[in-house]
Amino acid sequence: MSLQLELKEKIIELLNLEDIAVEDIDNSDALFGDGLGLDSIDALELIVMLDKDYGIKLTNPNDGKAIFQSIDVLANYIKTHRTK
Amino acid sequence: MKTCYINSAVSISTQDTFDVEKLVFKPLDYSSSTVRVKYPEFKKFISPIALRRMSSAVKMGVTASQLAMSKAEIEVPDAILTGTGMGCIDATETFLEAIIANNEDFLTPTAFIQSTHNTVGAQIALGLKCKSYNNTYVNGAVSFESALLDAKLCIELDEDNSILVGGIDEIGTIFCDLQYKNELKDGSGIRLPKSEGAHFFGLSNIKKENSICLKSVEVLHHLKMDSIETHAISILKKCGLDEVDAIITGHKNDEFDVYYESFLENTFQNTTQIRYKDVVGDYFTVSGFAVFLAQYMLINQTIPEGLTVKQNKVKPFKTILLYNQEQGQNHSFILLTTC
Amino acid sequence: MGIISAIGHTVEDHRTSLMASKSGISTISNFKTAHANSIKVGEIKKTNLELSKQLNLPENHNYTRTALLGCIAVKEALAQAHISDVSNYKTGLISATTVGGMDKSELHFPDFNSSEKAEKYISSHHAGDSTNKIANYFNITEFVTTISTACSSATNAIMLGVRLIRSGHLDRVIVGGTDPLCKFTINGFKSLMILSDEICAPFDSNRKGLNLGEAGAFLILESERVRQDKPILAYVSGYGNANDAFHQTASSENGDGAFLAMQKALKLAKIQPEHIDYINAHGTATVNNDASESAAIKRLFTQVPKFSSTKAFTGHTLATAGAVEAIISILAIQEQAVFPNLNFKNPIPESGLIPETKLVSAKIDHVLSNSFGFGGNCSTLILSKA
Repeated sequence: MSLQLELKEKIIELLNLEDIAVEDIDNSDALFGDGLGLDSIDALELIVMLDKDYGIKLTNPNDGKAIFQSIDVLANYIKTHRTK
Repeated sequence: MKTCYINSAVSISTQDTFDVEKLVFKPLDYSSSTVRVKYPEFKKFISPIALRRMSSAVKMGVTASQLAMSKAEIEVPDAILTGTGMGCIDATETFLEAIIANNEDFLTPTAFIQSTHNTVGAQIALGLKCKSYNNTYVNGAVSFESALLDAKLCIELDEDNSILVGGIDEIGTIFCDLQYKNELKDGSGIRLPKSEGAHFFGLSNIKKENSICLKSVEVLHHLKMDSIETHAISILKKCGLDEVDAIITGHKNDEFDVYYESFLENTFQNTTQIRYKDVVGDYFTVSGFAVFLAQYMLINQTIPEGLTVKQNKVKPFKTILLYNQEQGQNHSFILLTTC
Repeated sequence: MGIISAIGHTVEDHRTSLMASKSGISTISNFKTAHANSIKVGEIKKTNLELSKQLNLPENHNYTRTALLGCIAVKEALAQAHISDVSNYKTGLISATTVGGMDKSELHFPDFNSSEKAEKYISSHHAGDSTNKIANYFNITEFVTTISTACSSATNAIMLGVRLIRSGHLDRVIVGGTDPLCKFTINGFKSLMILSDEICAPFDSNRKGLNLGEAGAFLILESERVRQDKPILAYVSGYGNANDAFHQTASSENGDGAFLAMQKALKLAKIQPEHIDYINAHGTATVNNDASESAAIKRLFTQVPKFSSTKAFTGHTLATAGAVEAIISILAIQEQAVFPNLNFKNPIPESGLIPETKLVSAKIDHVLSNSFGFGGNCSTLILSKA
C-alpha cells in the first residue's frame, strides 16, 4: 500500500470522517481550512499519529500547519523524517 | 414579577417520545441493567463535520434543543442553560482508559475536550453562534432543576426573554455498570435499569398558544421526611393554590421511595399520582422527562397510556406538582400549571 | 473568604505570598505522573491524609481531594464570617468543579470491581459529590448545586449566588469552587500541547503555556439584612457571562466572548471602563488566551488600566480560578496594591500591552476579574471597595 493511501485510511479512521472514502481525498487537496475542513484539534490528533506510528515528534503544534498541507506534503515529510 | 412560560417541550428517551403527536408508553426492558435510547436520525439535524466528534450526549442535546427552539419559535435564545449529572461520561471513560492503557503516552485531545461537562451547552451555542449567557449545572439529581431554576431567575430578574433549558445524560459503558454492581451489593437491589436521555424546553416571558406556566422551582439539599408534605403545601399556598390536580413522583422502586410514601400519605392521598421512572429508566437528569410529561398532560388533558397511575377522580389537569429526591437528599419541587 | 492553594493554606497566607511576590509553582510531588519532569504545577503541599485529619474525618471516608479542599476553604470562610450555625439564615451553597471525583477514579479505575477500598469511590465520581459532601459537612440544607463550565465555573457560581440574594431566594450563599491536580487534567492539557515546562509567563511574547494548579476557594455572600454589623470585605458590583461561540477550545482572535462579558459586567455595575483600577486577567499564558484576552481588553478600554495575571503565583486552578482570583482581587482592594504579573519580559507584539511586573501601590476602588473557559464560556466579575 502506498504511504498516501495508508495516510488517507488513518486520517478517516482517526478523525472519524464517517462519510468520506479514500477516493474522496485527492493527494493534493488542502486538508485544513477549505479543503477537507479539518481544524486545530484534528492537527493535534495527527501530531500524535506522527509520533505513535512513524516515530516523529513535533514539539511545536504550529509546525503542523506546514506539514499537514496535503496528503502529498505529509507523505514526503514522513518519508524524510520517519524513525519507525 | 414576570410570568415564566414553557413554550415547548422535547424529549429523547428510551420511549418513543421524540417529535411525536401522541405518547404511548411500552413496558421498559428490565432484562438488562441498562437501556439505551433509540436515537433519532441525527444527520437530519447536525452536519457530518460536526457530528463526527460528538458523543451521544452532545448529539441528543443538540438535536433536542433544535426542535425545542423551533417549536417555541426561538431563533437564538438569550440564555442556554443545561444540566447533566454524569456529564459526557463516554468521552471521559475513553480518555481515562487511554491514559491507563498507554501509560500517559500518545494521548489525543479529542476525548479530553469532549469530556468537559459543558460540552453540550457549548456545542449548541457554537452551532447557533449564540453569544448569550451559557451555564451548565452538575449536581446529581438536581442538575436539571438547577438549570430550570436559573432560567426562571433570568425571567424574574428581567435579564432575559427567551431561554433554552435542557437536561442530558448518556449511559457510557463502565461507570453505569460499576454503579449497578455496587447498588446490587448494598442489598437494596436494583429495581430499575439505568438509561439516558435529553429533554429540552423553550422558556419565555411571552405567552404563546401552547404555553404552560412554570410557577415554582425549588431545590433543597436536605428535608426531613415528615416535612416534605408541609413544604409542598407551602409551595402551593405561595402560588395561591389550595390543592393540586396531579402529582408526578420520582419513585425508583428503591429504599428511598419511603420519602414519596411519606409525602403522599395524608393531604395528597386522593390526588392523582403518576410515576415515570419505571417506563424510562433512571439517570440523574431523568426529572427533565417528568416536566416533558407534565407539559403533555397539561396541553392535551390526558395521561399517556402505559404509566403507573393512581387516579381516583378523572378531572381536568390545571396544576401538576413534580417531586423528586435522590437517596434522601437533593429534593426538588416543580409546579406547572395551565395558563 | 476561605482559600487553600499553592501559595498558602489561608487567606492570610495568600496575602503574605502575594505581597512578597512569592510564586507557589513547583515540581509535582503528591502523586506520580509520567510528565512530572516536563511540567510545573501549583501544588498544595499537603497530602489527602493531612487534609482529612484537619477536617477530623473518620478513617473510612470516601472524600475525594476535591471535597477535602472544598471543605477546608469553606471552613475558613465560615470562621472568618463568624458563622457557627448556617441555619440561622436561609443559606445556600454553589460550588464549581471540573475534576469532580476524577482524582480518585483515575487511581482506582482498574480496581473498582475487585477492591472494597476502591469501590467506595464509585459514588464519588460525579461532579456533584464533592458539593454534597461539603453541604453535609456544614449542615447546609437549602439550595445546593454545582456548576461546571470549565475555567469560568467559579465566577459563574459567584454570579448565581448574587442573583439568588438579589431575588430574595436566599439570605446567604457560600460560593466558590474546588479542583485538585490529577492525571486526567495533566494529560488532557498535555495532549493539547499547552502546558509549559517552566513557570508560566502570562502576556509575554515568548509564553509557552500554562501551569496547572489546584485550589479550594469560597466566599460568603450575604444580603444587607443578614450581614448586620459584620465588616464588608467587598461588593460584587457587576458580573457578566457571554459565549465566544467560535471554537470548542480556542478563543476568537477578537476576543468577542471576553469583550461581551466585560461589557455586561460594567453595564451592571453602572460604571465606565475608566473606573476600573485593576484588571486581574485570566492570563493563562497560553498563546491563544493571552492574545485573545489582550484584544478584548484593548477593544473595551481606550486606556488600559493596571493589569496582571496572578497565574504564575497559583497556577491555573481550572474551575476554582474565578474564586481564587476574586479573593486575590479583594486582597488587592484591601492592600490598595496591584499584584505583579510574574515572569513577564516582553509584550505580545500584536497588542503591546505591558502588565504590572512589580508589586505597586495604587488607589483601587474597582477590580475587574476575568475567567474564560473551554466551550467559549467567558465570565467577568467586578469587585468594589466597601
